[in-house]
Amino acid sequence: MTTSDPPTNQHKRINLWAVAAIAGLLIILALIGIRLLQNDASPVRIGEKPKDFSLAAYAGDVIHTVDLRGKVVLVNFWASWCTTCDEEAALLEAAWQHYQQEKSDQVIFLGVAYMDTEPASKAFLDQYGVSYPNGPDLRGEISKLFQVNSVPETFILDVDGTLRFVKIGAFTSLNEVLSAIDATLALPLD
Amino acid sequence: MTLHKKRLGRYFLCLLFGLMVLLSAITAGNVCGQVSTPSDDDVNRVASQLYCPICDNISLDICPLEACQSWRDLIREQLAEGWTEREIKDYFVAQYGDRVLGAPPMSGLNWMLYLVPPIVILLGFVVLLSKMRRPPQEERATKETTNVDPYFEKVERDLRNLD
Repeated sequence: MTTSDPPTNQHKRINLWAVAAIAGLLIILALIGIRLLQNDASPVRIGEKPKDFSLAAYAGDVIHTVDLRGKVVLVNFWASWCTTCDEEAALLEAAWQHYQQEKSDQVIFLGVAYMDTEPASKAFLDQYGVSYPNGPDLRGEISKLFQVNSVPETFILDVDGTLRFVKIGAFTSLNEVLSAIDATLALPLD
Repeated sequence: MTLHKKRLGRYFLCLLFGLMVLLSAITAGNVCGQVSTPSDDDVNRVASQLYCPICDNISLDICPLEACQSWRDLIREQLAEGWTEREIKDYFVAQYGDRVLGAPPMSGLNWMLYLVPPIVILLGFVVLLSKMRRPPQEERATKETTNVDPYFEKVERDLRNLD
């Protein structure tokens, strides 16, 4: 008889607390899930468009990739502490000079110093005479877009901002750099 | 004689003043010297609060990489320029992100990391206390049966007799 009695006020209060606690827990889990989804940027694949970004160059200007539509953009991640970046820096500078002479309005290089100190980065650029725009990867935002975990890594975007070429590790010859860019330049426009 | 004493007193005061100026200049020089050349301990004190952005869970003071050495050099330069610990930390966060901090900053959803555990522990205590204050089930049952209304008891008895 007593078991079938209607729930007392105390029981009701406890049930309300339980419902509130479960609801709170679900809200917290949902927020964590949303945050994880936001952070879980899957790597950009060839044929996909990475998000536009801005590079605060050491020269003082800010370069927005959204303004570079119509040009092939080479994005190179490097660091002064990286052992293979020095040889590659010389190759990339040679390639940059090549396109400056022939197709300066069609190709742009962007160097992104990955997890480096500004004095060391600037010294590195001076040492290898790098003249194309370079800047730091502030808060690791740019490397996050490309899911860069090591250096050097290079990405080439076509005139439409679509990723067309990825190089993990250093370029080993000037021809390799030129052929990757030329292949992207030769792609038909959509 | 009094004039002579007064003059001596003035000389003494001047000498004292001169000594004080000299001493303060030396002290200031020492302070400047400390700021311009921070010791390894000064650098490591700040570096130990920052984590290497390219390693897994290694603080900058013990990190053996060349990159970490350049970060320690940077800290040394910043300390020499008179930067505070707070300013150095802020600079590192602005450059490399929150990952360089030992503990996540109290902002955005990170607040949950600081709030949820104590709230859960508090709720646990509340539940525990409420359970402890409630009498056990059997005790409650006997209490309830002893407090049955005599009228209902009579109805129950009559119903049983009917069977």
